[in-house]
Amino acid sequence: MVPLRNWTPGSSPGMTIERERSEARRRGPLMSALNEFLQHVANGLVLGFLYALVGIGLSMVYGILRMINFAHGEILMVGAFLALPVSALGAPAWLVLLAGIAGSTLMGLVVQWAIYRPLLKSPEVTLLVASLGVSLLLQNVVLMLTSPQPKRPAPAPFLDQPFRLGEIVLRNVDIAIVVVAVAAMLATHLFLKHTRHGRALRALAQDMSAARMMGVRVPFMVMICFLIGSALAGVAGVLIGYKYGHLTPLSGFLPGLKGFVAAVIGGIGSFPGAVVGGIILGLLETFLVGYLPDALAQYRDGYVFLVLILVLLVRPSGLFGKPETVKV
Amino acid sequence: MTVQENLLLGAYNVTDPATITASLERVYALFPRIAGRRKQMAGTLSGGEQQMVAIGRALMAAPKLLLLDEPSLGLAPNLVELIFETIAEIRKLGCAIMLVEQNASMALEVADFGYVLETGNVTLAGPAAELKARRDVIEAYLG
Amino acid sequence: MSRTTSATLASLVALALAVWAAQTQLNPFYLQILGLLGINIIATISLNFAAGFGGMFSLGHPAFMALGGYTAAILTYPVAMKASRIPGYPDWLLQLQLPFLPALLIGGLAASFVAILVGWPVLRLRGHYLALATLGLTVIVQVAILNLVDYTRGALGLSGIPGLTNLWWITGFLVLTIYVVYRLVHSRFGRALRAVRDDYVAAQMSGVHVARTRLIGFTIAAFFAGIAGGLLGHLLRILTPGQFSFNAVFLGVAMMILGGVGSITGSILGAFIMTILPQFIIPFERGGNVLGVEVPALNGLTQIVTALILIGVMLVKPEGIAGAKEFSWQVLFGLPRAGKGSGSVRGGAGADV
Repeated sequence: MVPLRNWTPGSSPGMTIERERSEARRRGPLMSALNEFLQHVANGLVLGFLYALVGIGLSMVYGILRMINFAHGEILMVGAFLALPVSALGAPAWLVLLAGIAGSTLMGLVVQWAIYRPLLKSPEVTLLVASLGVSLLLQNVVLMLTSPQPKRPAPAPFLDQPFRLGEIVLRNVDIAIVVVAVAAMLATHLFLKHTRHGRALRALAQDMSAARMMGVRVPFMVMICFLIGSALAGVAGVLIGYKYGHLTPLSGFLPGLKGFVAAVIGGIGSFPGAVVGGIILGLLETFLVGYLPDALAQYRDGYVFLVLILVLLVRPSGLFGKPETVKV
Repeated sequence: MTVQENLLLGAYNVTDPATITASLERVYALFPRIAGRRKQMAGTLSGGEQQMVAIGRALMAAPKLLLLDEPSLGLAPNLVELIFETIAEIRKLGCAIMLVEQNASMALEVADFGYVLETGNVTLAGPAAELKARRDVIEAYLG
Repeated sequence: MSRTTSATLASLVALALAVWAAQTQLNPFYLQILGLLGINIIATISLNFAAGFGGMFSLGHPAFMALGGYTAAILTYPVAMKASRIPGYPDWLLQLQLPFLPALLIGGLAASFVAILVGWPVLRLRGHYLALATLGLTVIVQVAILNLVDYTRGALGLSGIPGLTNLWWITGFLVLTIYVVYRLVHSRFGRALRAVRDDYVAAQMSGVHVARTRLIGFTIAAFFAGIAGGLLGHLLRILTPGQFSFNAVFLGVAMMILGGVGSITGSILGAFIMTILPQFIIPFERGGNVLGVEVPALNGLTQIVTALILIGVMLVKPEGIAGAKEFSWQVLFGLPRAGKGSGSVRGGAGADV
């Protein structure tokens, strides 16, 4: 294959190892092992909530359509990019967030309507390939319309302030991530549990034919499903933009894949699974990077995939999923 | 999903909360056994109870016509009786029922009209009482 | 000899003449494109062997190409440069410099070895789980290449690979690949492989050892991918991790899908279109003066076209151009079909479900 553009892993959003280590050193040798551990826990949780947000959308779509939306990360990225001009205009952070959600939701609905809906009845490979195509398309359309240079959201000074919890140092943006993520997940949970459409969505995932007999309309439900998933992705996208300070057309790719790993760990198709899986993955990645020597820690993205492969081999149904039986 | 959630799902297309509550009460009155298990996960119920949930769920939509496909299949004999008693009750509530059953004798007890299907063709049709009287013929068919 | 055999031989002679003509007439730029075309065909056929005939939708072939390519390149790398550029290896390796053919074959074997290692646990996964696990393999290999700078020169890439290959080599391996894959598909093994693809439970009940069959198919595909990688390295004289990234995955899948999953003919068609077509688009991508029209640099246009092709094929004709049909002399000349084997080769757009 002779591709024409290079992508290098490690350009994923993430504080570089050196920065993390130098921050730890700056805090002085007095920082005990316990504090370092707690710091990692805090960082891991923040990262984990981000992964959870992405994983929920993927899990929900898989639950109903039995398809893995490769383009989920790109929807995240599009939402963030559509929020950029709003940020540039000087809007407050919450407004930027709303813009991002609107952008990603719109993108998700368009993709679902134009491409996945006609392919609903196709074999799973077809949907997989189509979503690969969408992923590639979105990445490059955004690339074509903007430039390969990273974009920066307008700085929100409040979010950059450090936030101290005892010896643990975070930034306000991290707290914002936790708060917003928890709020979003709570809202989704309430929707799923206590509204009739939420119930219908859950029923559809469990037994499509029975749900249809109840009068649940599948196309409408699929749309709702994509709506929720894409909205959550948009939340994650804007949060990522604020946390790491830069966005490229490739910014969505790794979060999308890691969100998928989170969903698999928790049991794909399961909403609580995606949450738990995300947190586990965030903690795992942070601990691996934090405790391994520098030479090995660089492979952080590789480890995530190793985890994926391990989970798929050992317990493919994840923590909360049901093992799928093959009908003979 | 819990028993209650299943029932609520049956009322998916009903928008008036009062109607839904009324239907819920009616179903629980019809099936006291599941009323006590409304918060339990439906998958953990016994076969007969699951069948009751399924029928109750269908009733939640306040249907004009209820289609039942072999509701007694695989159930213990005492539960079979219960199911047919319930069908009789539903009939009394004024709901029309289309019942497909292999258990001809019990089906004809609760039905008004009957059709006998043989490899896709209707071979006999008539009021249930008449068909019952021709039971000897039917026993020949259905053994 | 039969008419089909003579037709095949005749076309081989014609091919040889064409290569000779190209080699002597064309300028290096076009020659390189033809070389890339050949390599892409080999790679697509190898992918199709695993995915189309074997039902194993693997997204890991760039990893195998990378393994084969880097291994072969390191083996043919001039000793003088080895010490300074890729010092990580043990001394005996640094002193070693092999000729092209053994290095290439060892590269293929290296890829096969990893395929066995990875395939043994991973191949029991179905459908998109396998796709994702093998995608993970691509990422892991790319990350490894990037970071093991002393062994691969990392992101800078391994440049200065001796230009030991040319259109003759590539064509030779291309013909070899087509021949081997064709014979394999029509053999007892090939039938077992296709049975496993279509219904692995039924295959198992017929006595086919599912796991072993899949593993062998996967390994063979990896071998040819490794060969393709080795040829690539020596054609372009440089290897970088970026060549084996997700874009490579997308391109490979696009070539296979476009041509037809489960068809060797399709792979050739798909690779042909996806190699030649971008050449017309690249001028637009770079921007500037194209055919007398000022065009702004439209970054990513080739990828967009690739993506649109992927999506378009899925929406319109998911089985690809050739579908599951193969080219045959019989069809072309209207000859009566030979008795056995004509109907059962048909592939399918199937990963196992």
